[in-house]
Amino acid sequence: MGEFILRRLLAAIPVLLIVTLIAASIMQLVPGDPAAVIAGQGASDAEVAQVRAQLGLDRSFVVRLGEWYVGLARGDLGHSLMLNRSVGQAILERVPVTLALSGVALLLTVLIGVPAGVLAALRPNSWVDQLVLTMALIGVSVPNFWLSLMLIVLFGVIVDWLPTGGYVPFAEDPVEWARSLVLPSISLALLQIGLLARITRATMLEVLRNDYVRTARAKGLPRRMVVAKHALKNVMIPVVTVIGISFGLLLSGSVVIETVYSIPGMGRLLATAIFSRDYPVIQGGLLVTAATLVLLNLVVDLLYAALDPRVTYDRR
Amino acid sequence: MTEPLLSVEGLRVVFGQGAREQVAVDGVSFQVAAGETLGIVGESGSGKSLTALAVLRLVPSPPGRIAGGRVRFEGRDLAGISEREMERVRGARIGMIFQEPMSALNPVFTVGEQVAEALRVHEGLGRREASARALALLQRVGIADAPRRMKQYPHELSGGMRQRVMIAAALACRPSLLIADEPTTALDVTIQAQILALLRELQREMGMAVVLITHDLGVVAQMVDRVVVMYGGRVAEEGTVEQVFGRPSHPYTRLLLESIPSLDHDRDRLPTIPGMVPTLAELPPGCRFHPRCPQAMAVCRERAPDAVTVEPGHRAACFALPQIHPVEAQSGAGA
Repeated sequence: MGEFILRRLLAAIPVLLIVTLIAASIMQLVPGDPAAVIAGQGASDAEVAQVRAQLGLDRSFVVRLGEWYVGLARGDLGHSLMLNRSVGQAILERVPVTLALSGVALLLTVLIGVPAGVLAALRPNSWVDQLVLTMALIGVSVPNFWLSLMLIVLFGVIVDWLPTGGYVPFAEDPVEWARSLVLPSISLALLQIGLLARITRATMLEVLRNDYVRTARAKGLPRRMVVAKHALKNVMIPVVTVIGISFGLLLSGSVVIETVYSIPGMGRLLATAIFSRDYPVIQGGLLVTAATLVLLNLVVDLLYAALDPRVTYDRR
Repeated sequence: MTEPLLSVEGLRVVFGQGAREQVAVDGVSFQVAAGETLGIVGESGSGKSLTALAVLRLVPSPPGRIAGGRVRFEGRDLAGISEREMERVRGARIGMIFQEPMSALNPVFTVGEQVAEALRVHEGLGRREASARALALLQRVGIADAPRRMKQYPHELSGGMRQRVMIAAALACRPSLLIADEPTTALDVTIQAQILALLRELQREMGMAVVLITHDLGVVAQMVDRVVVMYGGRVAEEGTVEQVFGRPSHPYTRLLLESIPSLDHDRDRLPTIPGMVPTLAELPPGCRFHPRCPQAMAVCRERAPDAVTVEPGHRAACFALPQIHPVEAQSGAGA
């Protein structure tokens, strides 16, 4: 097991290098000049050129990228062009916010999506099933930015129950922290809840047709135990994979949600950096995001082995 | 005569609704005395497995459902009790083992757990106690190195061992009746003999009755006391093994027995029954067997024959039999 984890982590290194290389190359192709942004609208060509030289942007792309990799080897992600701080510092400030947001959204996804799918599968074509399927369809088809706006209007303006945006760190005020995450995490999670409910339902229907479910009933186990123990563990094997994918999608979805709700997380950091062509922040942000996804996949694979005894990662 | 352990009367199992309704088990009746072994024989599609599932109320529903009949077991009508009460019968009073020991065991739980859980549910044993009992059961059904096997998963065991695990789980609570649905069909011939010997041993030890469902007439001849021959969802013939195998009365039974290869008769070609087993959708009217029957008469196309007593304890449902001992029509079987 330990050897498997080590192998997977080593294999992640080339993946991350390629991701950063592609990201840097694409940003190089996008028009726009951070020096012009910093110098301001009325600046002359000479002033812009001077800023560019100060930032080191007058050197060739290959040289700058090489320097970035050398810095990376020392654990230094460079300095932001706009934020007046190091990229590492900027990311460290933002990561906990995004993890809180997508973590709460993931919790909602699993705690609502899986039970809803199971309930629907236990009584196919009943009103419970119809309700779950309809809600899932709505969740999948409503764009999350529109949903966000509607929720803000409803809960933030018409009935003034929840903040319409912003973020309060947990350490500052846990209650306000939770209140500030309610609308964003619902907006973020609804799509994933719908997907997970549908997949759980389909998987459960299939699992319930298995011979071992009939055996469990023939042994006289109560129906609740047959479903919650014998069927559910088998359902969770494919569903865990889906939950892993969901978390990845929640992370990328947070770019839009953080912008709509003015939450200072990784998503907004990246979005702002892209608009202002803050190359070092873009590079560092993408590296951290890609590394998170690689780790996530590893965790999913480990969970998979924990659930299914037929899966083993030890080499024989 | 005392009341039989299990008495099935006029059992009907149907699939689908309204005009698309198909009758899979049509007025089946039989009895099993305590400690006795009853064989239910028939080809695939004869309704024998569904009959067994219906006794435990495990017919897959939807699309199937039990549409009529009574199942008396240990003095109670199982059709009339609540699902909770039925759960206390399944696994505790009636054990069941299935054809495919691979798919019948849950792949993600250890075999020890799968044997022990019935004990925890029915006898309220703690984890440790149940586990100790499961270990003893696995040793009893002949699993070598049982302490290690307990912790293994089904995919780590051979087919024969898996069926032994199934038997241990089904008999954990010492039921008075074991229903074995094709228990050896998926196994190698040598393993088959071992499993059958084990079943016979355990039956004697525990004094339980066994309903053995099979299409293998050889297995029936060596295992059972009485036999029920099913065709097209109905009982064609019923009697002791000597009666049914020695003096078959129903044309279907006769043809079935003739199609067994034998070392005594040196024949070039094995006789076969012409035609095919009808599917549920194309069951013929009248006697289900008449399209394939060499003795079919006009009446066979119109009505279903009632069971006729051929000799004491030996009955068959055929118009060609002399109607000397007409018995009252069985509920559901006539008309």
